[in-house]
Amino acid sequence: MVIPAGVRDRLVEHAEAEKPNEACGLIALRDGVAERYIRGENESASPYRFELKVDPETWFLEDEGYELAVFHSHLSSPPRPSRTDVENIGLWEDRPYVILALHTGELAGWRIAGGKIEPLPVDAT
Amino acid sequence: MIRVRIPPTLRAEVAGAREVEASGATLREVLADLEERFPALGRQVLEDGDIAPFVNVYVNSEDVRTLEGVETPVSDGSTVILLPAMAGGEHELVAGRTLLESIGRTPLVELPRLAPSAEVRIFAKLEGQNPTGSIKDRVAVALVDAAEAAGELEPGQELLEPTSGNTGISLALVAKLKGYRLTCVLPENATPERVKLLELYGANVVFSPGSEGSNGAVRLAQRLAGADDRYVMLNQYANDANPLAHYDGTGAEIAEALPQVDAFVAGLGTGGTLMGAGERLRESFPDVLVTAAEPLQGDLVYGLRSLADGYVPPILDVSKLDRKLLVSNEESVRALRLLLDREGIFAGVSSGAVVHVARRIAAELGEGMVVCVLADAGWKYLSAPFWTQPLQDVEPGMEDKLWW
Repeated sequence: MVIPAGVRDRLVEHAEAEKPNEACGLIALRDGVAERYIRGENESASPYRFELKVDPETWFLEDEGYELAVFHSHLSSPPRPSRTDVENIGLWEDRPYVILALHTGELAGWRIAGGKIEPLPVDAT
Repeated sequence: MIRVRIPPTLRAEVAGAREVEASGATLREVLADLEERFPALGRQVLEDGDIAPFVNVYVNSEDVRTLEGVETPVSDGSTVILLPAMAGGEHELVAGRTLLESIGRTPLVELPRLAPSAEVRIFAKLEGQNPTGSIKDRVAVALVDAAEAAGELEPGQELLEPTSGNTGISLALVAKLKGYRLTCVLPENATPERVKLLELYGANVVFSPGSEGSNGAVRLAQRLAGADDRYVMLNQYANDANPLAHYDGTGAEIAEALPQVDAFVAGLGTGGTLMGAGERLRESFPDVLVTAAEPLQGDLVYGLRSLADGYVPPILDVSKLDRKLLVSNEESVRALRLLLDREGIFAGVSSGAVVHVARRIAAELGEGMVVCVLADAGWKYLSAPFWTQPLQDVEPGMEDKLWW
């Protein structure tokens, strides 16, 4: 997965704006390259939890040739899915999942399936 | 017919269809119709007759959680959208934080052996698991951070705090790690563990007369601060950073951990926990009973204070307390020993008072969820005889010393 600097900046801006709460949203990718970030609302408004709310139509961007990645920020822990993330993966099993560790700026991609976490490498270009 | 839009994540269950038709007068009937025709979809979308936790459903662009849930009416021409519900959150315990960053996020555990019946549940927030063993770590770091942010605290200045012990120990830790000196004023009859801990953490200790209790310590500290400019008194009794630490921390953590809180019980000390966490919990659970455990008038209080003894901390707004229950030393010790015997929790004396009140409120409510805050652990009270002596001997033995 490639997340170019422009999209990455949007992720960091959103995470900064939501501080001290976690930020969340959807990244729209085409052919594995992130084209844009759609900000979501964290309905939990919490530093330790997120509950993603976006315009329902966003979920259907895949019908326009995009692939979606679920994004959220961690405030102080590494960008690895937490136990809560794994337990709540639900319908997003085996789909792109991106976490930004705001305190270090580290961005990491994952796929979570059957309770297991597999890295999904993220490149800038 | 009702149009049902299927997100890409669920299309495998409907042979790849982007949308399907269904019938029904309510969302429940529509989902039942879908389940009958597409059992695999039903397994993903429904759980025990309700919408599954990993699914959000919209009817005509409205989230049904804001409508009537599965009872939301639908009619011919309505559009139902099924969507993934995504949630998660950060690790609550991670390596790599500094000690000060590790303050808070304490465990919230159930006390099933102390609940009066199965219909009412009691939960305890174990503040003794903070770095110095008390809830005051939250307050100390908030007071110093706020003073630094306001430019009121600069290198070379010295912190001065009247304290019942725990705040002093917490401030001593924060002061040490942030590079300030600290002088603590505390009553001379404080337990030796507390005095020793303060000194080990590097604080300078000044004693006030034991007979004057916490109020005497406040008066002496004010005199010292008035006489010397180098002292900065953060004064937890009058500093908004104190309740704010509990609004953002203690209260928010409880609100996130539980789906419902019917009563919240904390000891009445500075009022910080009751005001801050109480306010935060009221935002999430408007009917919550914010309840103070208050020592009997005349008891020499340590950590808790009796309002009848004359001093009302400026941060305490008594009108925001829904209930205030008086507790004797003996009742506190009895509950403290029960807490250790039945639940294995080794807590400080004020926690006994809080648990006593939590059990009374739980019995009154008969059902629901009661949360109480156990402000510190028992280690600083090990020298006390009350852990083992007969209960009838407890009260006289506690009268000449400050235990709370």
